[in-house]
Amino acid sequence: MMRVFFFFIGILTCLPVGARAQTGTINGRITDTSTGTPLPGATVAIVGTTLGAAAGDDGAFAITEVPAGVYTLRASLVGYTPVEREIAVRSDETIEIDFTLAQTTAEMDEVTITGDAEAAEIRESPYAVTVIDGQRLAGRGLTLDEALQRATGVQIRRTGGLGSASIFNIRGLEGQRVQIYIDGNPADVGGDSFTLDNIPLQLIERVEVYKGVVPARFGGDGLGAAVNVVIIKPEDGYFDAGYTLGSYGQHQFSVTGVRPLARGVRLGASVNVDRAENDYAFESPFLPGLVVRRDHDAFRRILTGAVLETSRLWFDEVEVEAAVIASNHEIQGIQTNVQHAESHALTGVAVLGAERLGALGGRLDVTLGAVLYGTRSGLTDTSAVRYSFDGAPFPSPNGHGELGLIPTDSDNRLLLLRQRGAFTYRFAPVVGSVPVHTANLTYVLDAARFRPSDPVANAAAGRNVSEFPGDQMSAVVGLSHEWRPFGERFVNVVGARGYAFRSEGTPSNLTDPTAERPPPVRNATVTVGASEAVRYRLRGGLLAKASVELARRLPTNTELFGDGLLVAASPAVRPERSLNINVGLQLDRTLSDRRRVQAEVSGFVLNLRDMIRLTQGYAGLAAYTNLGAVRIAGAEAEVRADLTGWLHGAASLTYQDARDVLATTPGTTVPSPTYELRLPNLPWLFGSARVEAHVANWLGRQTRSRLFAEGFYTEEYFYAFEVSSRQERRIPRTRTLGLGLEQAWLQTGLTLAAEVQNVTDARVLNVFNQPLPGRVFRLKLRYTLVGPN
Amino acid sequence: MKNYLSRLALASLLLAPLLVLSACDSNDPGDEQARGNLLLITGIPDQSGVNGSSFVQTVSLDQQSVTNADAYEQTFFPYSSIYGDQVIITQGSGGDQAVRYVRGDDGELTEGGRLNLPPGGFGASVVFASPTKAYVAVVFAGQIVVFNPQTMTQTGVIDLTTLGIARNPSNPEDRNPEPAVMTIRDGKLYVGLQQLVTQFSSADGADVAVFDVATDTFERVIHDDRASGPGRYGYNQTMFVDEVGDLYVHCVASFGAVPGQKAGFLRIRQGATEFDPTYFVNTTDANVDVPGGQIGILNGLGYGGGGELYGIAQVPALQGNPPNYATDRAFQAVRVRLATGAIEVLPLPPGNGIATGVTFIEDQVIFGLSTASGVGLYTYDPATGQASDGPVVTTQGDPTAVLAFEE
Repeated sequence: MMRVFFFFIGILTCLPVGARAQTGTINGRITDTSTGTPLPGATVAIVGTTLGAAAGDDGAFAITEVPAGVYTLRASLVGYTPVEREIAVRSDETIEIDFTLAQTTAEMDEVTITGDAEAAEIRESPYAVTVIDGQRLAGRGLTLDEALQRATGVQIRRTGGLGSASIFNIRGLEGQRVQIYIDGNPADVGGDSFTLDNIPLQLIERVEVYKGVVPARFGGDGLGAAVNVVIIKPEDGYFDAGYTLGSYGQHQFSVTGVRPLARGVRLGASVNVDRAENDYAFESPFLPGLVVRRDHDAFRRILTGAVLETSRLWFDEVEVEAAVIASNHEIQGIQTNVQHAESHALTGVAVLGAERLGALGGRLDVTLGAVLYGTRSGLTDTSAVRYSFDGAPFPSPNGHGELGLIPTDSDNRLLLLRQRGAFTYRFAPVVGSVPVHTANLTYVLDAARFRPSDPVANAAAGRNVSEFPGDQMSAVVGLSHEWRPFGERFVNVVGARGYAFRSEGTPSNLTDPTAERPPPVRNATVTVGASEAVRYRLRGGLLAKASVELARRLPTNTELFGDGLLVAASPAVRPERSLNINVGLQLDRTLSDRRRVQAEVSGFVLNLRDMIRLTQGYAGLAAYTNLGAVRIAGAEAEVRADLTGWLHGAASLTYQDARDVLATTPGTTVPSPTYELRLPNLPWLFGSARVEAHVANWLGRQTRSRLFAEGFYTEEYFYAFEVSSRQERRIPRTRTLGLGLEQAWLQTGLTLAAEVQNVTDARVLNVFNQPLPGRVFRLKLRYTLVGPN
Repeated sequence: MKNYLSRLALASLLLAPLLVLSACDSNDPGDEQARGNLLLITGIPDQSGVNGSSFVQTVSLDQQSVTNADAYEQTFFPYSSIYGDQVIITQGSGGDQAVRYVRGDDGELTEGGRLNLPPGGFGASVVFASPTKAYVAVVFAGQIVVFNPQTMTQTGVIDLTTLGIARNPSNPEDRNPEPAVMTIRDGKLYVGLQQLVTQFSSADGADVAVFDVATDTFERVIHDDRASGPGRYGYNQTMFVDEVGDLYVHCVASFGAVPGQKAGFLRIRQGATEFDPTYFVNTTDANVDVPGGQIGILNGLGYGGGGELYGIAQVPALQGNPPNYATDRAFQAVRVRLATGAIEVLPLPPGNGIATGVTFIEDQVIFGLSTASGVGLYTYDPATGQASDGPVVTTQGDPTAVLAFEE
C-alpha cells in the first residue's frame, strides 16, 4: 500500500540563476520528396533537447533561442521516414535548412523498432529493449496495457476489463520485481489508485521496455525488468482530442492542448475521462455451466492536469505541473455475486521541474525535479448481505462485508515527497560526432508517510486492526559510464546503483491484540547493484549485444510491517537479488527501396535469490520471508519485414522457462518437492504475429488507410506446480485474432479507427479464474492539430 | 486484497486433516499392506507461498516413497472425509464444490460426482448419517447442506442463521454462527459453532447446536463458558465420540488471539444434554514437556481409543519471529490422555504447521509430518512407545491429511 509511489516528471529544487545562453535560430521548410508539396504538421526536433517546431501550412518552420552548439536535427511526420541532419548553431546567427520526407511503407507500425531517431538510438543501446511508439498507436482505441501487450517478451495479465488489475510479466518477472518509470522517475504502480492505464495513449511519446538488465541511470530498484513511459513534450502549438467507444460500455475521452502564452511561455492542459461498464458475460470457473453477466464492474476515472512551462530562464525548460486523478471501481465477484463493494481513490500530484541540455558548451545535461504526491484510497465493503448469482440474499458471515470476513471502509493516505536529479556529462574526446566518454549520475530521494485508517473494521473487530502507520526514507543513486572508443561501432556502459533505505512502521500485532500501540519496528538497508553492457556493430546491419546485471529489489512496507490485518511484520526481510545475463543479435537490412527486414534474437538467464514469499503464519496470519530461488532462462525472437511497398508483417515468439532451484525445503535437509520444476501460474511460451496493408490517398489526397490483422498466442500453463498427470487447474492456451481498419486524413489531422479484438470470441483468461471479455469492438475518433496557432 | 487475505486466513486456520468418525477404529486393522488403504493429501504451494494445489491419492505403508504423479488435484487446503470406500473432498475457500471419489478394488480412486455448494460458502466438514445421507457444513453461508453422497445431489438445507444472533458483541447484525465441525451420536447431529467475530477470533464461550437427524430439525444449543471456539472447520476429529458414547469437542480459543479465552476439551456425556460441568481439559494452561512448557493449538487430531487422543501440538517457544507455518518446526506430536488431561510428548521430531495428518492403522499411529530431516508418514507404536526414525513413506509435498480407510 505504501507502494503507490509514482509519478510524473523530473523536477527542481532550486533554480540556479545564470547568464542567458548565447542562442541562434533555425529556419526551414519541409516537403514531400515525391510531390514537392509542403507537409504541414511535420515536426522538427533537436535530438536530445526539448527544442523543436511544427511546420505550418506552407511547410515552413522556425526554432528560436537555440543555444550555440552542434546538434542533430530530426524532421518527422506520421507516414514518413524521419530524416536527420547535423547542424552547428552559432550565437546570433540564423541557419536555413530544408527537409524532404519520403513516405514510409510501414508508417503505422505499432511496436516501432525503426521509429524516430531517439527510439532508434535506444534500440541500438547495449540493452535488451523494445520501444513502443505511443504516437503511432494513439489513433487506435487501445489502453496502454493493451499496447504493451504488443511488445515482444511482454505479457500483461489482466483480471477483467478497463480499470482492472494488471500484472506485468517481463522475462518471467512479475509484480514488484518489474519496475515502472514515468519519464525516468520510479512510478510504483502496486497501489490501489494508479495503474499505467491511467495514462492515455495520446499523452505517450514512447514506452521503453527493458528486459533483463535495466540501465543504472534509472534510479529505482527492481530485478531486471522495467517499463519507462515517456510523456510527450508538445511544442508550441498542440491540440489532440480523442474519443473511444467500445463494447461493454466503454467510453474514453481525452483532450490535450498546449498553447503559447508569451514568448517562451506555454500553458498546457489535459482532461481525460474514462468509463466502462465491463458488463460482459463469462462462465463461472467455480460452478461449471453457470453463465454470469457482470453487473458490478463499472469503472469511472477522470484525470485532469495542467502545466506551465517556460524556457526563459537558464534552464531550457522550467515547468510547474499539477494533476488530479479520481477513480471509482465497483468490484465484480467471480465466486460470489458482489453487489455493493467498491474501491475508490483520489490522487493529487504537484511537480516542479527544470531541464537544461547542452550546458557548459554542450557537455552537460541537467534535470532536476521535485514531486509532491498524495493519495487517498480505500475500499468500501459494508453490505449486510451477500447474494447468490440467482439474486437470493443471505447474511454476510460476520454481519457485514461481501468480500472478506470483516466489514471495511478504509481511508488510506499516502504522502510522498521526492527529489530527483540527473546529470549527464560528455567528455572532450569525440570520434565523429560521438563523445568517447559520457558519465551519468542519477539520484532519487524519497520521504513518504503512510497513514491507513479503517474505523469500520476496527469497530467490527472490537480493536484496532487498521491503524498501523509507517514512514519511509530512501536514497537511490545510479552512476554509469558510457564508452564509445570507435564512434558508433562499439559501446560499453558500466553502471552501479546504491540503495539506502530506512523504514519504520507499526507492526501488526495480532498475537498480542491487547497491545493497541505496539512499539514500532525498523528496517535499514544499504546495498548495491551493478551492471555492464556492451554492443558491437558488425557488418551488414548486424548488432551484437551482451549485458549483465546484479539487480536488487527492496522490500515493500507491507512486506516489512504487515498490513494490520493478517500479514505479520517481518522487519528482517532482506532485499531480493538477481544476477541477470543477456546476449542478443539484432539485424536491420534494407533489401531494396521497398523491402526491408529487421530481426532480433536474444537469450537470457536470470538467477533470483532471496525471493520474498508470503508464507503461512500462526493463527491465520501470514508473513513475508526470504525463501525462493528461481532460475529463469529463455529466448525470444522477433522479425519484421516490409514485404512490399504496401505490405508489412511481423512476428515474435518468447520462451521463458522459470524453474524453482531451491534444492531443499528451507531450514531442512529434505529435498524440495518442486526442485527444478517449472514455476506455475506464469506464461512460458507466447507470441504474436501481425500483417498490415497500407494504401495512400485512397480516400482523397493526403489520406492514408491501413488494414491490419493481428494474432496473439499463449501456451497453456498450470496454476500450480505440475506434479500430476491429472491436474485440471490450468490457464488454457489462448489464440486470439484482431482485425482493424484505420483511416487518417492527414491534412485535417483526423483519424478514425475501427477494430475487433478476439474476433472468434474465444474464451480467454490469463489470470486463474478471472475470465476476460470475449469479442470486443472499438471505434476511435482522433483529431490532432499541430502548429503555433 | 482483503478478499485474498480472508481466504488466506481461512485456509491457514484449517490445516489439519479431516478424520471421519469411524476411521479411527484401530480394532480392525484389515490388510495394512494392501495398496491404497490410506488416503493421503499433500499440499504444494506455488511461488507466492500461499496459493497452490493439493493432491489426493491412496497410498499404503509398504510404499517407501510416493509422488503425486497420478493424484487428483484439489484446492490448496481441502477437507476430506471417508465413508467406506467413498471419499468426499470439500474445497474450503478455493472452490464451491464437494467432490466424491470412490476407491476401487485396485485401491485407486476414481471421481464419482460433484455437488455444487453455495458460492463462496466455504464447504468444510462432512459427516455421514447413512450411505444415502450426509451433511456438509457451509461455513460462510451459515448453512448445512444435506445431500445424497451416492448421487451427489442436494436433498435439503439446514439454515443456521438464527443461531448467530447476539453472539458477536462487536456486530449485533452477525447472524452466522459459522458451523465448524459436526458429528453424529444417537441420531443427533452435533454442530460446533465457531461464532466468529473476525477472521480468526471467536466470541467467548462454546456453542454446540443439536439437530435431529431423522427430521433435520433444530433442537437446542448447548453452551459452556469455560472454553471458546468449539471445533475447527472441516477437521472432523476435533469433535468425536469415544467407545462409551461420550462426545468430546476440542475448542481452539481463537488460536490464542483473544486473551482470556481457553483452549481444550469439553465433554457431553452419553445421555446428557449439556456439557459435563466436571470435565474440562485446559490445554492453554497445561504444563507440557516441550520447550517453554506450553502448547498452543492442536493440529491434526485422532482418537485412538482407550481414552488416548493423538495430535500435533503447536509449541510457541519453537516458533520464529514472525511465526511461520511452513518453515518453523514448531509442531510436536503428542498424546492427550482424556481422563486425566495429561499431555505427553511422543518421540517424533517436530514438524511444521502444514503437515497435520493423524490416523491409525494396525495399532500404529500414523503421523503426517514435515520435519527438518524428512517429510512423509511417520509411525508411532503405542504398545512399545517406539516411533519410526524417519518417514516410513516419504511424500511429495507436506501431508496435510492422512486418513485410513475402513477395511
